[in-house]
Amino acid sequence: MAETVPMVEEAEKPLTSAEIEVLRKQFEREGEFVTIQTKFNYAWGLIKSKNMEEIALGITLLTEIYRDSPERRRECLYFLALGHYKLANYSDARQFNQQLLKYEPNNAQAKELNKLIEEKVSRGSSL
Amino acid sequence: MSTKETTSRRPPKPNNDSGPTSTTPRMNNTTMTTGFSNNYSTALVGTARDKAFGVAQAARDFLTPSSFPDWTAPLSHLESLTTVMFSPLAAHPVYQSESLAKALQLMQQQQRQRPSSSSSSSSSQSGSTSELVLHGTRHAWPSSSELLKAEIPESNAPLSLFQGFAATYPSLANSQPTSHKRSRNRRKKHGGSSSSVADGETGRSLTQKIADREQKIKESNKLQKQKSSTANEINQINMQIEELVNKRKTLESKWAKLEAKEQQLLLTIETLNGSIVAVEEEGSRADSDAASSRTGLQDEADSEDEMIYERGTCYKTLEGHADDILVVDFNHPKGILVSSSMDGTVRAWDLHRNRCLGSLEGHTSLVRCMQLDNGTLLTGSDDGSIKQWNLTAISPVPTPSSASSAATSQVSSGRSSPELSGEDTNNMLPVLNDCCIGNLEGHQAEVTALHSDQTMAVSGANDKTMKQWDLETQQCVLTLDVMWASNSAGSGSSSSGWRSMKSLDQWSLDGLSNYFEPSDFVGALQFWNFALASGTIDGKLRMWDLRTGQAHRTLPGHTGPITCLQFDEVHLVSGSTDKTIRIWDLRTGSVFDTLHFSSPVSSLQFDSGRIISSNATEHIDIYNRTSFQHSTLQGHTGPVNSVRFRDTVLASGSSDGVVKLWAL
Repeated sequence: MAETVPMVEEAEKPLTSAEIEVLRKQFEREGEFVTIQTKFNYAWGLIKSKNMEEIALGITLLTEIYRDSPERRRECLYFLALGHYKLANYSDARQFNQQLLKYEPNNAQAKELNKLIEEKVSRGSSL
Repeated sequence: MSTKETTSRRPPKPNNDSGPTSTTPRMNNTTMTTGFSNNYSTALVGTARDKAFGVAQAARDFLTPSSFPDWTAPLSHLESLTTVMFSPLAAHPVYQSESLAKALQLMQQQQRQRPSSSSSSSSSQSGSTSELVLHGTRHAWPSSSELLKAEIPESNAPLSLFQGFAATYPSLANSQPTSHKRSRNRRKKHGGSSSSVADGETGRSLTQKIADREQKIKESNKLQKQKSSTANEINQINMQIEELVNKRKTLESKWAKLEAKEQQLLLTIETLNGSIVAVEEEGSRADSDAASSRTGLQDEADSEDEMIYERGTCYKTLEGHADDILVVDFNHPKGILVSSSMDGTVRAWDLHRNRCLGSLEGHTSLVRCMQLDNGTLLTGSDDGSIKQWNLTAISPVPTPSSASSAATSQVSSGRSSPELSGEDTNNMLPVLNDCCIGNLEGHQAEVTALHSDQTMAVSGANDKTMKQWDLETQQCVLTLDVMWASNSAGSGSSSSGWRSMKSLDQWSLDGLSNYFEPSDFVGALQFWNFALASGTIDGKLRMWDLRTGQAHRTLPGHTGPITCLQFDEVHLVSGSTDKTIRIWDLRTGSVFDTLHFSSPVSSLQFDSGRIISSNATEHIDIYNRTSFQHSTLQGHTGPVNSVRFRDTVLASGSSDGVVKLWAL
């Protein structure tokens, strides 16, 4: 479990609504001064879900983290890519992922995600 | 990453996209006019295919570290159009409205890109689309290219976000370790329960131990991560605490400065008081005995006045207004009295010297309601505005001629002095400038009722609303829609109640001077902290909670519009054009007593001992609450419109154009 970043499949395994509720409560409880970790926890839980609305919300939160915390941006790249990928925003996903690969060309998960995005894109363009 | 963006950035590069550029305006038009059509999607897909190769190029272009001012704008709705195109669900009805929204967003985005791009092709489009407003977009994220413009420094956080997540919620992070644990536990159990089995026992315990050790190592790793993530959080909170501490420091220093200022002012007031005493003692002998004691402590002066004036008599008449007096208020028996009249002026009178100080200009229409507390006056007018005045700024009246007025006419507390703009001759009325300190705008009709305390004011107007104002910021903080509240509270009959009351007005106001408009929607109001009581044209009294803006109680009973009300902790007293004054017990909500008069009640005030009221006659009625007896004050030659009393002095304004002061 000692990975810095989860594999792409991880993002496809949704949490139960009770679990998401726990994350959400913690997020809301911290109010205005919510810590980045809590925000991320909740956002990640949302992105893992199958519900488009939740994924979108997760992306919004992650975007906020990205914007507000420069030191966390690199990590956010991966998650933003994942989120957009799940929402089928492939160009966004690809952009984020490309950026990540620029910084970490040997990142297995990034490469994996890249492959998946390319697959989806090529499938889509053949429409 | 938007197609349109690349379009706008293309001009320096070989122009191979004249095709897409020309299609985009067409796309815009179709989306705007026909909503969503197949033409749109196919055109987009075609363009997208062309642009797909340029995506990475352009992305790299954008990766210049720079600050992006768009972040500060709360509404940076930028979404890539290609999202729509590449999405397999683009044709899905759910996404159609989104795509339209996204197209609109893109147009806005284009408009924003305009300053940074040199392209003119986009300008015409954005010009036409600049008025587009987005409603109900669900997803509003800055486009990835915008985001990627930001600098992405080396991530030197000890713990990645995901590791932190996993540490805090291990059960949610990954399913594998738990299954490992489970299988390990099972193995352990087997190992423990089957210790009696001889075969491979030692072997099993060895692997067991190794497995245990691994597990423990994993756990310790996990704990370390949890520790560091908690440490991070603590750091963050520390920073926030520092910020708040700094904030508090600045506010404290501000407060200290204000305190110092206040001290200074008090000192100046003291010295002024001293000089006033000195000067007054040089004045005429007749005044000096009373005057010297009058400077500091008003109570003594009052008792002397009482001895001077006989109870129940008018000891002073203030003339000057040219028409009916609508409303009067004063802050102190020897202070300032303000009166507003149908001649369009608002006059301030000095009650110590019983002379007019001047007129307060500012309102463009009649002032119907006012409240004077210490030095601050609030007036509500038919022009829909409420003005705040600072009367402590009025300088003493300089009259070289008359001997009775000393150089300083002392009123309530010390004053600093901006000059009066004119000489105080017999004919001209000095205009008191520099008094108006605020203006509360918002009402759409005549303001007919007003009440204020130190920080807030509530006003009622003929636009059928009541507004609560913060006096420091001069902003309206709450608007109570009386019609809505009354309709939602009652049945449909209440709305008819409004109409029938109106017709009732017409003939019940015969006896009343034409001062009363038959449609004073909110006749009176008063509030105390969060409790507001209003009396309206339907004859009902309503109690509101200013925190929620809801009327939680209605006291029906009056059969005519309410014209005046006042409440204290126990009772609410209301007067109406139905010629009655009702005294309500606030605890039970029922009428405690009803006083009947011969004509509509125009104004009232009560304290623990009496209720003083005026109606459309020339008499002022004093009702003694302990003896249940009425007595009258006679003297006016016209219907009395407004009464106000403090301590032992009563001021009354009437349609005969004079203000009379009575000793009680």
